[in-house]
Amino acid sequence: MFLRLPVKLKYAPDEKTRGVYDAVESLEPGTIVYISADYGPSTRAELLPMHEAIVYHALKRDLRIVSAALWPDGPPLIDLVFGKIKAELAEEGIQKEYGADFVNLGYKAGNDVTIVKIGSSIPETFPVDYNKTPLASLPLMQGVKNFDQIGLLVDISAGWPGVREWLQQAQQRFKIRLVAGVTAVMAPDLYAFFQSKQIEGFLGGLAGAAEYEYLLGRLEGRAMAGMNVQSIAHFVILGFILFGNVLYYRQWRRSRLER
Amino acid sequence: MLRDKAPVWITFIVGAFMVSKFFLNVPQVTKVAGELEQWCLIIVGISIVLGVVNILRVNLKVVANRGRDWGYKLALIVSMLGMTAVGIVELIVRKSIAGESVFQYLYRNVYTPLSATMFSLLAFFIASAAFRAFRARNFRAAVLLVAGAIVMIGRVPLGATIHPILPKLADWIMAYPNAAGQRGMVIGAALGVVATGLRVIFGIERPYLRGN
Amino acid sequence: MSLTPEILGVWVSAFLTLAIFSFLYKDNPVYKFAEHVFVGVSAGYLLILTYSDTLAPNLVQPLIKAAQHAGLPAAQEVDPQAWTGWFRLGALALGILMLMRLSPKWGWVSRWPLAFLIGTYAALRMTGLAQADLVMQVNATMVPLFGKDLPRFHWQDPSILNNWVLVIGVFSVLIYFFFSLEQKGPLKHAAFIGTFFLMVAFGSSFGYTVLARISLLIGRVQDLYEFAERRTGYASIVCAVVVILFLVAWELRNRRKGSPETE
Repeated sequence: MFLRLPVKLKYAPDEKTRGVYDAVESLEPGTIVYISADYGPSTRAELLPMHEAIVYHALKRDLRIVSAALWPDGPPLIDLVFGKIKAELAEEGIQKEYGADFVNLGYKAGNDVTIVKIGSSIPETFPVDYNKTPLASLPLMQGVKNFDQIGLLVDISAGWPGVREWLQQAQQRFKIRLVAGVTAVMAPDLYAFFQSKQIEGFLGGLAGAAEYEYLLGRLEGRAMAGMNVQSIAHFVILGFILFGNVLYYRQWRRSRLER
Repeated sequence: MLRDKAPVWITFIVGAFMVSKFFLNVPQVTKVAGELEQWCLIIVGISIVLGVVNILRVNLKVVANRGRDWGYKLALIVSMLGMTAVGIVELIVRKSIAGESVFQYLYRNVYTPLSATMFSLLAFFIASAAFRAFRARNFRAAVLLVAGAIVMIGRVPLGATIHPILPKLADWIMAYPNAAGQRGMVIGAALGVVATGLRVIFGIERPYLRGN
Repeated sequence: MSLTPEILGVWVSAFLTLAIFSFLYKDNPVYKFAEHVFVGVSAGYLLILTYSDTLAPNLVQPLIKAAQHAGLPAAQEVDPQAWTGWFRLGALALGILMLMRLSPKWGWVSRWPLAFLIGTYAALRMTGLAQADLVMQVNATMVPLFGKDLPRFHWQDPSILNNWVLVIGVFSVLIYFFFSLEQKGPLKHAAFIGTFFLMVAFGSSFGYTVLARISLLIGRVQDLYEFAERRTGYASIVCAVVVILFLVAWELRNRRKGSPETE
């Protein structure tokens, strides 16, 4: 990254980030993880790094991934992430193949109804995958009927439909384990659901993605690279706020003295 | 009757049936509900087609009448029809829009930068608002700003580097006072949605009767 | 540098990115053009994807399969359940009624599929929210306020102080939004406390919103930085110069005309 601070930054992953990490770590190899990529290019900067990190973590642990999207922008991003992580793992000597280790089921309209339908029958909701291959001919999808065969649900979410809808329609109805990766704007809403243990953990924005990369040891990850500039920018914004308030206070004092 | 009463009855029958699905663990009910859910996906898909056709219709009218900004509307129509045509050709020739294709090329190099940059403009607006609008005019506004400031410093690694208590304080604020405030709003909104849902199913509120 | 499709794509991306950023100066023709292209491309993309991923596999293919298998003896049927595809005719009919919204005379028939959708979604959202947002959240608020098992304070884990903050916060915020009784006396004081919890919640949201917005900008700048490399022909730099020159020429033209271009 073109801007690096002259100081080594310390990372302190919190409970909610560790919750995501521990949820993936707790799964036995071969378990199927369902990842819903409910975001688009508009929030790619925040969510793509965490999507990559979670897919990397899952595939490295020999988990299998079924991925789909409730947002129309999602499927090409799923392909992008799989392609990148497949290449990265290949460099580490780990081979992962489409159809056996991960599949992209594509996009489905319908929002809440689609979630309920997926929970009752994945093949009926997605008769074919994004490449128009019938599900029956994909090795990974053999025997996968609904959420009963899914070990963990991961929602990468930028808004509506997103993690709140997965909570309401999937996690509660089908009693499935849920973790999420959300934009920073959505993160404050989820603390209440984390405290109630409806979500086991979530990653909030680029900072959450950076903490996850730190836990995975991906120290050259895109999120960690962005944290330098992010840190400076926050202090700049705080400086603006402070300066604006100082000017406001001086104006207020002057008007009081004049009175 | 068909115009006003029939939709109310449809909402009631479908709504009541879909609620009863969760109470009746009967295979036939589950099967019918599953088929109705499929119908929903399809109708929503067709609604999306309706929306896109409407965009075309509205902008064609402006271009035909040489209305305001008709040149830009023409660019809109050309890009829309171009993207659609590329997609149709891909579907006919390759049966799929996935993988390396002109459609995905346009998604990567036209749609993605436009979408991403539109939202990144917000950073400048928040910087401008930080200077001009975020004033501690009273004690409650000061509480808002102080909470925001602690979270802003604590959530970035520079905060942890400055002092280890900053991320802890930020996390505590998010996990307890913030969660309490958010939970109050969530419970209140949930009560409202349940009440409104019942009113819609029983036909007391009829949002589908507005317009045509 | 040879003009491969990849390099051409980089130039288009760089130009469109900078065209949108030109809005930071003021609304201008380059930005407007890019904005309208965005809407057009989005609409086209959405149309194709909706057909390809929803209508084709869930409507068209089942109907085709049902038609193909109609009349076949049982022994020749590949999929004995193919006949269930005929049920999708109901969805097709409702979908066609939805499209009638485009007609001024027959637009009212679109109320039927809308009523169908609203009934289904009302039922699902009502039951989903009642469980997830209401029952579970109320349940999670019932935490112990006294007890020897809990520490007095902990930064992250449940503790006596944390539980008090949670319970007082939830109750006071709920009271703040309770308008069935006039807010005076104890209700007024409780609502007043609620406003502080709301301010903390909004302040936290503000802090996270800043994080979000800056992250999005960092993402774009990272891409522009990559587009400025030599292998791409310094695309970002050249496009930036072109956009700036255009804005200067446009501004000079407006001043010569005597009045700024109306928005």
